[in-house]
Amino acid sequence: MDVSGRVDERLDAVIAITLKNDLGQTLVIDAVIDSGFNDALSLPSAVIQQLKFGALPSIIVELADGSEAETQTFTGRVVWDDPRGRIIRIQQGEGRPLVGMALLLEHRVTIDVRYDGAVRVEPIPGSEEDI
Amino acid sequence: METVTDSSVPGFFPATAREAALADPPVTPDEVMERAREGTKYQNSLPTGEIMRRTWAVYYQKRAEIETEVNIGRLVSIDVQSGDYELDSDGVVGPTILRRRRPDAIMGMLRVGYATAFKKGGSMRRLSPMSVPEVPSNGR
Repeated sequence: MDVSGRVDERLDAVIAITLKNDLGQTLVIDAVIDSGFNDALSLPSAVIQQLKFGALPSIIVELADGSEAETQTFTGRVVWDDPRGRIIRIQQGEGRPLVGMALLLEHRVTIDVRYDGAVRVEPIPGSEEDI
Repeated sequence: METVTDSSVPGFFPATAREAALADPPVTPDEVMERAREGTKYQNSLPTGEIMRRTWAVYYQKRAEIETEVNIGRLVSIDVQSGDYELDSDGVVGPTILRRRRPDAIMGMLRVGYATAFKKGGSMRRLSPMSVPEVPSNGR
């Protein structure tokens, strides 16, 4: 499915992500595309608790300065193309929500790198996501 | 055997759908959500740091059987109580299958052959609002 967004005042490429749980609750959040993040999604604990996402195993993550952090992970659904949503892995992280490379697999990301520039995420033509 | 590459499997991204189809019986999106929800109380029964310390202890005990050439780069979910483990490639299906066998598992996950399972960049954290009178010790 195609997702569009904007480059904001911090030069972050931001897209809107719709999260969903099994209680029928949905929540739309702004998330930053981060090619240095190789998991699917990072969310603050307040969002994870609000949607009552269930736990996956704890992990250790390498941060940008080379240090390591122990963190909890969860699973939830993201509304991508089907309104029922698709299962994703979620790391707990207290910064801005991040969309990582694992969520963008088989997608093409185009960013007009200027303030308020257009951001576009679309399936790679001919890929499994191009349906 | 038919290769499962159908991205139209509802509720999964393709990489997860492939892993899920290999399980017997196959893992469904509802099972992932339900087992994670039921496992939350067990995951919360130990601090994250303690879970990871015990996870590494099991890993080093079983390193020779886990860290084979074909497994390098895969993810291994480890129950720190029983030492039972499950390998997968996306970190969703493996924990779900391990929780089938061990409903009360307390799990840590490592990337086989690596010090960390994932990597993460930073983001520019905002200062506290000006209405907060406290000045941080570094003057920012």
